[in-house]
Amino acid sequence: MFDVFFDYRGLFIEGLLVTLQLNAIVVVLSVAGGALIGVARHYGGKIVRVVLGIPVDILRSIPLLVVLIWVFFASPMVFGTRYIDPFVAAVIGLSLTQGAYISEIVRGGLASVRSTQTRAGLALGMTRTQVVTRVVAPQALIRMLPPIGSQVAIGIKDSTLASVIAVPELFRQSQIVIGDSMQPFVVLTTLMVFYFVLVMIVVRLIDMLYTRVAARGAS
Amino acid sequence: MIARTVGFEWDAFGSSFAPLLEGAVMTVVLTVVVMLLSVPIGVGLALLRLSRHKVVRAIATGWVEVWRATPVLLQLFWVFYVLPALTGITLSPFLVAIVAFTGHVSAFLSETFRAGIASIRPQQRQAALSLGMTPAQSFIVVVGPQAWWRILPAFANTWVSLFKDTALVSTIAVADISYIGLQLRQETFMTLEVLTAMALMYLALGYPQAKLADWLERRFGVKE
Amino acid sequence: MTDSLDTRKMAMSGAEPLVLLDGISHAYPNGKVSLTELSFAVHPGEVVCLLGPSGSGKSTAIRCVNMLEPVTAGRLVFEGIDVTAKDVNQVEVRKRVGMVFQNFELFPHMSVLKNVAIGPIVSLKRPKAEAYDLARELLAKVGLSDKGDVLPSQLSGGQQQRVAIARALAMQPDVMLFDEPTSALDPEMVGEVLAVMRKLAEEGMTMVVVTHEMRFARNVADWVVVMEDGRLVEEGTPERIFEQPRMERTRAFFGKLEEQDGVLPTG
Repeated sequence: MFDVFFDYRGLFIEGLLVTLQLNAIVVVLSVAGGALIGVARHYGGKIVRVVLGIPVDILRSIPLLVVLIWVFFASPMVFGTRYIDPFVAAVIGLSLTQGAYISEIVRGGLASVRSTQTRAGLALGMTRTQVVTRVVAPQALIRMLPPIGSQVAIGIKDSTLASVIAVPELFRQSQIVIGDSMQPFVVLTTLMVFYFVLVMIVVRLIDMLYTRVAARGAS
Repeated sequence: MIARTVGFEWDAFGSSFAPLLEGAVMTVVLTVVVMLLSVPIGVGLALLRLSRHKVVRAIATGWVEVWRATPVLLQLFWVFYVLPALTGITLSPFLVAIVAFTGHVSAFLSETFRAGIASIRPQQRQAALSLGMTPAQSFIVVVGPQAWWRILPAFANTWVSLFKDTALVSTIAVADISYIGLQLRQETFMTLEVLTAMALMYLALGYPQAKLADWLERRFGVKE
Repeated sequence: MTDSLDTRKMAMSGAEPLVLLDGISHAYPNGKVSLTELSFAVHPGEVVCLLGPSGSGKSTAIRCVNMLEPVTAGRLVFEGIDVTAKDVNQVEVRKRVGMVFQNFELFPHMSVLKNVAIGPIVSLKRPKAEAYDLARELLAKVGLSDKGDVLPSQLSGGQQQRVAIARALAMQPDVMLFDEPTSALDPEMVGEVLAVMRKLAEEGMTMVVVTHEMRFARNVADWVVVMEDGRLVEEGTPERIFEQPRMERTRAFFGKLEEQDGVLPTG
């Protein structure tokens, strides 16, 4: 029954590697980008907040599938290139969408630290920057951990959508195998188990990390 | 900026909206039907997860976790391919979408409901009981209405996610906005125009929903 | 019990106890034992105060009376019926037992008036108009007739607790249980709540009060039960308990209170 995995091992291994690579790159880009935009929107004043809010709101209102399709099919025309590599398109589409959500988490986390904490820092003679880096950011960071963890888990699940623009990730390769072997049951069910385990590992790791530091984030 | 041999075809862009609007009806119907089915199922799952019996609790929790921790696209394909093989029932793509999304959304809602109910102090229930209410009355009169306001923001976010996730039904040929957009692109070759119109269609429908969800979160979200 | 200080008016008059705890034990689901063979009686019209250090099981004991906590052993008799029997309808018993909680537990999503009326409306199926009339009457009684339309969160703690008392009274209960009714209040609000309770006692309401207010126990109670570690230490009239405590543990408890803030009333 599980022969199918041995018979098509090449496809599965490639798919697994692409899925892991895709997610690793997206996590780094979306967390870095989201943090940047979130911080800018929190501290940047009204104009920055509103202007940066436009792409964030657009990305939060449009399905990821549509973003991916637009980036893959339509964006090359805007930028005058005829073609974009599916993997690159998937990285861009996923990172943009994930980054938009993470920027909101970062902004909310910074806003959740009580203003009295800032005043307490200033009262101790710290500069504004010191208050942010020493007092506000560490607390906010801890509070952001659980929602960012959930968002990363969503990103892993959503990475299967890259199959739609023919990125040879795990789900895409599995569809090829199903078409060839006619064994949808075992392949799809195993895939379910795989994603379940992967998502659970990420969720549990973040949980463990959070429980270790949670008390330091509750002012 | 736009370095195409032909510029942006405004006509093709404009004439995309009529067919896309038909797709929008399907998108809205899917969202509403799935939500109507998912709310009662989600409540049922939440109550099972709060059950006194360990086994019931464990099974319900396992069911919910599986639906929550696996990709919805995979769920859609699983229902599409595997359910007929297991049960012999072949569903239309539309029904496949309804079944898969209801499984997905009801699992998320059950977690929202469970957390909402659990967030109400047990003493509130005891106060209701001490006024001679039955357990059912104390849920309906006291715990439920309070939990509702805690649940509402998460419920709204689940709604918005569902609305966007329905785009995935295009992969099993249900004629929603994205399916029609992709069809239109193949027929007309007006890729940029059609796909931009499709994105705008989703934006027009999705933006107000997302903003409403944000407002509910600010208004009723649990603050520390 | 020949000591004149220890005579119990109600018991002497031969009345049946309204509530009788007969050797009840209780343990939490985690196995922690909170009550061990506790017995005492409450007669009609009596005010019984439960005293003792925190964690001594006082609150658990009164929560057992309206079956918010299940008794694991012993008998609990209410109006002559053993309510620990399997076939007893808990809901019917609770309709006749009023309860006031430490943290008020008003329903935050209802107006103050509705909080008071909701018990009769839902549990007793009274017509709404009648229930609201009663609620207004009771709000007036606790001195809050002008607060019917506001939400509980707009009231002070003392006001909220007075509403909670009115809410319990609306069921026209045969006995009122008070679970540390003033412990969550700012000091300046304790008096207004105790005044309402004192008025109730004077009207002849049967009351069981878990409290740390020694002056209230001393002046209002007909009977005092001292508990520690889930057991009864001693019981008697307030005069006897406060002036001639027999047990070392009672003296130690009073001693600690006096050390803290000198609240022990001397008579």
